[in-house]
Amino acid sequence: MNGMDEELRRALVRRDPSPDFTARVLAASQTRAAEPGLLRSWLSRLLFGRWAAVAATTLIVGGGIAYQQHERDVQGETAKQKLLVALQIAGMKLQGTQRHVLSGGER
Amino acid sequence: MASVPLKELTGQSEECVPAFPEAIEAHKAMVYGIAWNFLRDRTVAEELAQDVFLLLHKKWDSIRSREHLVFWLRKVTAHRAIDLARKRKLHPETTLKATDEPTVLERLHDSFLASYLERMVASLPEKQRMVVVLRYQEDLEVEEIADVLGMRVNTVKTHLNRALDLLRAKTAVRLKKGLDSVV
Repeated sequence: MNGMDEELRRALVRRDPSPDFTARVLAASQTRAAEPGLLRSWLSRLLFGRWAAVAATTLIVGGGIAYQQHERDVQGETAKQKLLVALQIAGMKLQGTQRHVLSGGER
Repeated sequence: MASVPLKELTGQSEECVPAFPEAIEAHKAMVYGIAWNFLRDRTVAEELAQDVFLLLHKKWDSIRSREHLVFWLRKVTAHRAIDLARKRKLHPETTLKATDEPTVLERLHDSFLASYLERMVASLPEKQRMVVVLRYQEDLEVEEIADVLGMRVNTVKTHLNRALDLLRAKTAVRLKKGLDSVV
């Protein structure tokens, strides 16, 4: 065995990892063992993964459209009420004018 | 999961002992040692070693014997270390010229030569480096290295000879520089 071989054997020795290495590996293996099964994992990804962003966007857009429709409905209702009031006022004025005319315009 | 005691695998009498933790304790120095001597980065080496044992945990049912366990650990560690080094480009490129100036103690003390050799090994191309690590850390024969790495025997011999030639040349340059600075 030449000198280089011996030097390399002395340099390249087995080494211990950090003292808590075994504990960490065991903890990680237990965590992985407790993970949900494939179907539940898939459902979790469906609910909380990228699809959540798509669903949230759909809700926001749909909510915006619904709000706009509601606003239009409110505005329409308000306009209707105003028109009714205006018609009532006009009707009252017409009635007054009619009475005046029928009474011969007496003062 | 790892419910079969290791002693059952070797035909010894059954004992109620946890098998997977025993495997970690028995082989962590080997797995971490290969990773460290190859990558020269403690954090990365520990992460790799942990990943190897977690994969072992997953594949435990496929382990047939104590010898198969050791072979499996060496094979997975070696391949993952090579893949990781290629992805991370961890091996420092060191030419014959680009060596640090040795201190007086480094020229004289054997342990510093070992440290220097470790750094030189870490600068070898990945496959040569792993062949050297398996040869000198694990004391494997060329045929065993070929099995672990999935190479032909002649390919392993070529890698080993080229690596040793390169290491001898680098060491000679280093020693000459040291002697020149002393004289």
